[in-house]
Amino acid sequence: MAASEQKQLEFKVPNLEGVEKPIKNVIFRVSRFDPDRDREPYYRDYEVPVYRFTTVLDGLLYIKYNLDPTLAVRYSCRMGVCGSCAMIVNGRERLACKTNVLSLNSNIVTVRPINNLPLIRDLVTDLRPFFEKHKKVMPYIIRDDIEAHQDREFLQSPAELNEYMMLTDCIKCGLCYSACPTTATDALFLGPQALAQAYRYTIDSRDAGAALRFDVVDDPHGVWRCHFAGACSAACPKGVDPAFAIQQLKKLLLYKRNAMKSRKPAPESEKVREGTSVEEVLKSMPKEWPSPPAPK
Amino acid sequence: MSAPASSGSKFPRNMRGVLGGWARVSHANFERWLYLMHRLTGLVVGLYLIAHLAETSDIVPAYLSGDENIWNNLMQSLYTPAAHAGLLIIAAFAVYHGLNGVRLFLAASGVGVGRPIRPEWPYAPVSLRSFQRSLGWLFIAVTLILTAYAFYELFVVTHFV
Amino acid sequence: MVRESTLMWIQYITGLGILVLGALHFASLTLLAPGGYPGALEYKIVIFRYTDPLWAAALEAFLALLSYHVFNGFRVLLLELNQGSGWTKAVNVTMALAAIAAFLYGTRTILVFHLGGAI
Repeated sequence: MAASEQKQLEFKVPNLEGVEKPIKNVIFRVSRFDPDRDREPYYRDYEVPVYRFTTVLDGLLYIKYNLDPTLAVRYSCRMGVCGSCAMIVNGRERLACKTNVLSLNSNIVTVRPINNLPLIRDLVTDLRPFFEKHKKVMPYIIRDDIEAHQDREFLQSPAELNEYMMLTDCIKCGLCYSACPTTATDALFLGPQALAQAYRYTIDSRDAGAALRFDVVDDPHGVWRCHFAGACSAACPKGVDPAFAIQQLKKLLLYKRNAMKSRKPAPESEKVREGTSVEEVLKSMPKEWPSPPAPK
Repeated sequence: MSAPASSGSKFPRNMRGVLGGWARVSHANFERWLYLMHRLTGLVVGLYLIAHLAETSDIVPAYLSGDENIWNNLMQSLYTPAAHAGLLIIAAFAVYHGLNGVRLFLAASGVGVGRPIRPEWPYAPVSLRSFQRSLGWLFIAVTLILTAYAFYELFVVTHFV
Repeated sequence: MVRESTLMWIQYITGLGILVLGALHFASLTLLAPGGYPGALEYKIVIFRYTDPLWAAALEAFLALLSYHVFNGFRVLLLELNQGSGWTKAVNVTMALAAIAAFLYGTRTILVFHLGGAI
């Protein structure tokens, strides 16, 4: 489709304001806590130069590299998919790597660890209670024939996929757990993340574990201590909407309990997946992976 | 500070509690406000029920002794603007709690919370922009209207205003 | 024991019933009372509402629904404030007893007239 004359590519000089030089200095008010020395957390101010695209995580790392290397902060992907950098920025549950400092419209950025989980140090909380509650709801497909044929897929229509697809985006960051009013006083409450995942697996047409999960969530500290404050969905950085899932889970418990228990899970496909079987793949896996070519 | 005795005690539990948790109003979304009001109104009206049962049982000594005035005098002593203001608050709270309860029951039955979507940035969760939100506003309006009617009955009809 | 979903289902149903009977209770003091609101608290009219079988039945039903709904509500609140088997057991027992006590106490007020002042 080569045209006789190609449109001249126009190169527009990009707006470099704030990209090459910092725009201003912003005070980062960071919650600090050393368990060996302090009784309770306190705030410490740091002055941080901020560019147009500086995120809160960038600011915290600037503090760590240049001002105070003792600052403890969790981060990993710095692009909003790992869920490590969950913290409370200016009173709101945010991912630090996805929060642009200038968008906060404030000269003081207050950074605090997330709520309702034990505080280990500075901005780092103990996520183990959060993960334990997730494990309690058995977040995996449960069915009798899961081991039977590993070379063929289960049949699931796009409509059946849509029922739970939204809930698979969860990155287990803990922001919903931090925002929930019930977790603020109820240490046994499963939390919005675990309950949403309970619904995600229960409604999955491939799953047959509804009875087991119902016993876990139909508990004085399970689904029924959610009062639809919606703070979890408002806080979720991935748009998972756990509040929706929890209300649907309540609906299953109230109206569809027997139907879900006797539901037949999605059947297996007749077609065996083309290509090698699982055993062959395992046999042909190399003992050592080849190393990349040496640089020239 | 000296070394702490056990590792459990030196890491604060960091639970927000009632004031920072249930009652957190900073950056609270609409449904969170409704939840807080639901708790408050339920608590107040529930306590009022106990007081009300005690108050209305005072008709029994009036009946047993055949003396109407025990009851009528009690009613007269409560026929004050202050007592009626209290009753107005109870009425408003009870209406709000009942109507919001209907909304919560509908939500727990899967009505008004929308259908699952494929999230696109900026992620606006479907449950927070579905029918239940309009229902919330509608019920607040109905609560105000019925409170106005209660005000009419408690203050205008009784010529306190 | 009883499933939490059963307790909550009854909580929802009693809530709906309370809405209807509560409106009726309010109406019996204003719209449906001869002479309107202040007169509805007159001794004779109050006695009428306790002795008339329909009104008494409505009040009794209202009381039953309220006893369950209010004290289950308190139970939920208290269970969220503190956890631990001792506290949980204490809250469950106390709220159940309080609900029964409130119901019996209110029933006494309603029944006194029917039993000719026997209780």
